[in-house]
Amino acid sequence: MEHVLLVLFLVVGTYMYLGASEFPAAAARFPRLMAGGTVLLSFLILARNYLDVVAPLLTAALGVYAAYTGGTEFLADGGGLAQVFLGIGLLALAVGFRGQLVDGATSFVAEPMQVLGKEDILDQDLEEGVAENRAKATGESPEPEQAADADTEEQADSGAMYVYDIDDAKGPIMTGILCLAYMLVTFAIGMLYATPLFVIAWTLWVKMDFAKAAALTGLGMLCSYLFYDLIQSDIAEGWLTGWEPTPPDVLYNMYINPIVQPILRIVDQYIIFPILDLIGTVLPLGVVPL
Amino acid sequence: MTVETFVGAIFALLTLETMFWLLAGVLVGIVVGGLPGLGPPLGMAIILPLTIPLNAADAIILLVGVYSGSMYGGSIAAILINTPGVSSSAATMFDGYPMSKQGRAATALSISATASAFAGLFTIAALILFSPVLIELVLRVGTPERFLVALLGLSMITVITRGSFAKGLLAGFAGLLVTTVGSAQPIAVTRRYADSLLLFDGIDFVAVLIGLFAIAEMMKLAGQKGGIAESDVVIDRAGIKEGIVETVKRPVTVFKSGMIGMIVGAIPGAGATVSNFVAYSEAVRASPDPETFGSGNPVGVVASEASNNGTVAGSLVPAISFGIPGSSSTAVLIGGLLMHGLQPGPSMFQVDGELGLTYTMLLALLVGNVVILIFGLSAVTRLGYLTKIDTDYIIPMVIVLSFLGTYALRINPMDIITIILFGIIGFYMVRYNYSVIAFVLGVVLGDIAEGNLYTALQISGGTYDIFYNPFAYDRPLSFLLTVTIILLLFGPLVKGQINRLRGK
Repeated sequence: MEHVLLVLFLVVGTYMYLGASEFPAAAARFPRLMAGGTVLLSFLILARNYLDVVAPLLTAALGVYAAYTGGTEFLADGGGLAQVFLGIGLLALAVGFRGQLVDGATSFVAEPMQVLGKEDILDQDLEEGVAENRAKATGESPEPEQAADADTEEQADSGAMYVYDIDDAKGPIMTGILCLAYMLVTFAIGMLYATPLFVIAWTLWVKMDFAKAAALTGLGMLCSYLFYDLIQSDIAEGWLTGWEPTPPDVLYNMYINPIVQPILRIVDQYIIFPILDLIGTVLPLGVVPL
Repeated sequence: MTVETFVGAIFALLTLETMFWLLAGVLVGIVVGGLPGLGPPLGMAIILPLTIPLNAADAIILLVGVYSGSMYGGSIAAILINTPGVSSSAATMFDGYPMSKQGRAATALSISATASAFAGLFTIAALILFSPVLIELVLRVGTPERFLVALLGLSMITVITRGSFAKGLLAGFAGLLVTTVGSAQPIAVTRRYADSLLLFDGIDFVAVLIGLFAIAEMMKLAGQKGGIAESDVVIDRAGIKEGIVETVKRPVTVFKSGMIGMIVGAIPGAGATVSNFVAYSEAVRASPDPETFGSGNPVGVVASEASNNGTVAGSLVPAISFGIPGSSSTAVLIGGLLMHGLQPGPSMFQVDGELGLTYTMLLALLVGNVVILIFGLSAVTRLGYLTKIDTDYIIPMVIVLSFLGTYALRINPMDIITIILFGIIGFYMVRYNYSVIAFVLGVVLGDIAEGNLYTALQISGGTYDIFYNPFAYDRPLSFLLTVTIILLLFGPLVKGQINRLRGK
């Protein structure tokens, strides 16, 4: 999958580099720089097993390009001399210092390196001592403990990076598929009702108890209704279809309210109003029964 | 004028509404930090769209409340079930979990609450005290330097990041590339790729953040077993007092670890995880009985927890001064600032700018630490519940809130596509060791970097020597920054070569 990720970066970068040529010069500079960097780095990482060939070739190609564009600019308006020197320098590097160039490129692309890694912080003796003490104190064998630590250490090695293990590959795939389905249903019927449908699908996937699944679905529906009612009512409309299913408050007024109203009237007449009457008689609070 | 602004900030904070959002933020943060698998950036990313109806000050206070609360919350799972709720509490496990196994869970939890609160309090107080110096420094930095500081931030992350240097750089470039879609604000041009109307407004960075932190994390969580704890740990109220005493009688450890957290936190990319280990290591080194660490030594918990809350203050410095996130959490915080129309940089320190808001935010963190102390100590016996919540309930609700929050922001279908796309990309980036924070930094810094690059080149008439020629424009700082960036970029290569030579 790493190759897919890199190819994605490479393709998108190339497309955006070429696409930027349609923008005015000032607007094209930044995207071209970024897209160029993305393409170059993706390519280098993709070709990391062939750096002994790729690195000198790429450096030479960059050198020729820099020398050519610099030379053209120099002939046109006298500028671009620095670019010419840079190009010549790169060419000299590619031809005369091939071994060092390949070593440098390999180190740059393939070797893990970190200025402030955990190895710079915790020394090996300290780490081992702490692990041993932990094993004694918790009464747990050091092996699984160390395994757990290793996982955490990987996560904790740098604030900027952590990696992890996946116990069940189906989980992330199914989560991704359910998210895609959630998106498509949202585009068809709006997010108001797509949300409980997504939660139902999830509870079916994890084989949740009916009662818990119902409660979770209700919570999902409540969340989407609160968003619809308080923040943005347009989430109820399907973007692709333009269809807006009848929202719950309208459904309530149409079907539930007519059934509930007579019961509420009876409750008012025989329970609420007598209580209010009583309170009004005992304490003159100014409460007048409707 | 600054004093008046400071006093104004106190009054702004002491309103009922603002205090409510602060309290809510800290409590939500503690819960989010306490749930294994979640963490400050995820909690803040989900909250981010919900802050839209709030005014800027309340929104930022809510976010920093979540940030601060989750730093403490992370210790709960680390102590009780040997799994850090957040990676910044990893070192807490070393001694916190053995303490739990010895029946001293309440002591460890109350040490965590007290050390977190004390360190948080004095580091924020230190930041407020030194803010006049910081203000002076930030206001002296010009446009070319701001562009270079943005580059410096990116360079720092790529070298601090574990793994291949090229991968870190690629992540940063790709993040910057994302920001080139849509409107190019400084040039007043819309960059439309493939004539797509969906991309007309660009790729929303809030959607990118939510995708990377919420969807990617939930995909990861769905693939991991053991999300809930069958915790048999007894939390006895009697240990609370002991925990407070253990912390109070070690003011040097609290102070030193808090300061380590603050200094390391100010380094972009280093964050609380690194400071956590640095502080723990220093506590072991300075201890008269280093052999007891790992077997339930309270000093280990004090050092670890004091440092991670100290990081909050430190990480705010580059974030609000230059828009450079020290960590994923501050990246989301910067997202919050931008979403509410606030630009990190000099305006955050100008009396006629947003200095009042900056002070209110710092004061809110100060009060937030008092909330952590009170809540942490009073709820010690109940905190174990958090570790028993099944991830099967958490995952769908986080996804639902992510989708709703993102879509409700702009009703742009592209945002939904964005969170799924970047969720999947983020999942695989982390899996294959590409720095997500470098990517996020690129996304957050894109507009700032491009705007400052454009303006700097306008000043120089289009030539790049404004960044490296100390004589041409009388900008020695630009030259120094450029040299630092080059040293940082080539430092790891040199380090690798030196190690190789030593090996030979």
